[in-house]
Amino acid sequence: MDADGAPTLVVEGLCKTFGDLQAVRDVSFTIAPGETFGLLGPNGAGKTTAISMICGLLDPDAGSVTVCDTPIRIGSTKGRRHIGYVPQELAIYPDMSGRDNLRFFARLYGIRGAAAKTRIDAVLDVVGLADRADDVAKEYSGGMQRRLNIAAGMLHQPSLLILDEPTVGIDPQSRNAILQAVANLGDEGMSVLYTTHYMEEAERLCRRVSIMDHGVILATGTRRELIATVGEHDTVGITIVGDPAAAATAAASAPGVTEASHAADNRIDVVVDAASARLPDLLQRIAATGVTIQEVEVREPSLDTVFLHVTGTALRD
Amino acid sequence: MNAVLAIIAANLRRMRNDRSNIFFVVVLPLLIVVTLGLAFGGDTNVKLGVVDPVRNTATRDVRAAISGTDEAAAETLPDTSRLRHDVARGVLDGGWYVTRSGAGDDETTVITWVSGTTGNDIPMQNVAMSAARVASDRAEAVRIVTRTTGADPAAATRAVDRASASGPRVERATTTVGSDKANEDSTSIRAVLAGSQLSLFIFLTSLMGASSLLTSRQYGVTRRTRAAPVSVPQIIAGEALSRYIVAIIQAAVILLGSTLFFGIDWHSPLAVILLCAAMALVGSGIAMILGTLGRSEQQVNAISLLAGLALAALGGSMQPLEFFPDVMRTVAFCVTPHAWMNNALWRILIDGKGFSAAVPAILVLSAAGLVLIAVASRLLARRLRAM
Repeated sequence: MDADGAPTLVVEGLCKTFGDLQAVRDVSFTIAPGETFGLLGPNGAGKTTAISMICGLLDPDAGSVTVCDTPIRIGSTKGRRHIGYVPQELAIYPDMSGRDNLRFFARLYGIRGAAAKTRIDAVLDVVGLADRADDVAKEYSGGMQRRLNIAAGMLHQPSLLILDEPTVGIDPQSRNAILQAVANLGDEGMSVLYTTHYMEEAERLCRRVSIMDHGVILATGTRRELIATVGEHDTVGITIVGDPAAAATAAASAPGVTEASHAADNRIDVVVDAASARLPDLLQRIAATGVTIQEVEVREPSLDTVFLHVTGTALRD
Repeated sequence: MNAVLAIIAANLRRMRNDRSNIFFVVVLPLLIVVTLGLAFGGDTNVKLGVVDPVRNTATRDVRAAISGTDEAAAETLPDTSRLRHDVARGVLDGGWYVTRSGAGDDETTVITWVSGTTGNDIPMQNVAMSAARVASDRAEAVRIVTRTTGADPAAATRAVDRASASGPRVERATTTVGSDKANEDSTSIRAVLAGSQLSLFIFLTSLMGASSLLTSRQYGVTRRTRAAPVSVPQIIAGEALSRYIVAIIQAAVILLGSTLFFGIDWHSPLAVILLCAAMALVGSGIAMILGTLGRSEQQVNAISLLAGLALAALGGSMQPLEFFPDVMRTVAFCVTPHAWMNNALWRILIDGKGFSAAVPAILVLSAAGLVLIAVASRLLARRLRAM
């Protein structure tokens, strides 16, 4: 929420049908100022269609989109200044330099002269392209082109930056640079709508996520809330030297533990709620049985697990 | 307005970044104008060859008559085979050779004209034949005086000369309708040739710009532009003006280059500029339609090149419309903008007409251009809204 409590983006009841295909059904969510919000779903889930409507590129059959209290409609340019759109596919001129591309997008948003130069230099720094800014974009690597693609979206300092699968098909180094840049945007107060089908990206960047499949939002919340919704707990794997049966019995008696089992290789698995808080007590009880603890591994349930629960299928690629 | 200017600036920058455009827009048109100018418009003197082993009064009079025109240079050649060879190869525009038949009072001097394929020698042929007729009449008069008075030939010749000098003086003057201005000023021919290149290149360059409209869509930039605070009419205006400005740049290069470097006189610059502006409208409209409907860069470039050259050829940019049969001329005016522009340029530069001669072409081309741009805008708007 901003100073007066209004969210940056309000999406209410969006619907879109193409022929017999209901691509988006009753999609609603909000994004607060400075919040990075994840829209998760496999390819074909309806994310890009929803984003097209949010950007005003596609008319919804029903529902509304409001950005910074301004309704977004296909025939109107009002409110679009508040949005920075980074499409899934590259949307830059490969036959112009990175700087000229940014100059073009700056002028589209009415930024010219010294102000444009300042902003262009700033975003080039953010995406790490300052030293290659005057090279023709087609000479960039795929990752560099992706970063330029993102730079064009954040150039005019929008209130809401929409990133549609910005890391698809790029090298780990560029991917990391992009994720870091997005994380910094959130810290600077920019709201970000981030769509991806990489769960780990959403877990790293987003405070809240919506899981979407077949055009419908199936669940929305923080990672912890979503995990709690599906009743999943942390799993602690402990490798010991000593009697595993005794260790498992001791572990089972600890608060929050729902299950403790042991395997033949001197390892016990303990299912516990909020492992990080309860780990010291758990380990103390196990050590009290006289075993030597060699290794401890905490596995928290992931959004992958949540997705599996919510959709009934693993994430399709 | 910012958005429109941004789109124009980006299109021009993309054009500039492609180095081959510098060649096709600047170097090639001027090179063609120079080459055509040198080939057809450089020297208007008619080149003639003479084989004259007889060298009598009559043949000297013929040669003097040719020299007196100041429009031809006659070169003495050793034999008729050389004369025929040089005329056949186009080294000479034409020429004549002299033979003698009979003897004594029956002796006859025969002057045979060898005509080339250029047709440039025809006025000189008339001059030569006219001089030969005068010489023949004078010789006949001398013969009559000699026969009837018994005077010797020299005295008879003097008597005939005195008699012809006492009559009214007659001077020869020829004019060929439609080409007198060209004969007076060789730059008119260059101007016509440059004009034909104007219509060809304005149209061709406009069409070759169609692919940049297509690639803007293919690169996803047009869709992204729509997500910015830019309206569909602004995008269309930016794209249309980009095509138009490129066409105008092309026209300016040829007009200024041919004027500054080759001294071409366009006679009615305002008419020529307005013709270029109208032609650019037509080219821009067709380029926008191609760029909107095209499916691939290769397809659009191939169609642009083919249409650009074919319509130019049909419209008289490669050969003057005056050489076309009537049916072809009619077809050219129906299907090509070039025919209108080239015809108007011909009337200004060759027929010596003023601005008013270009008005119909300016109006027709402007109307056609505006209609084409309106159609293209509608098509592009539909495509943009479907993105």
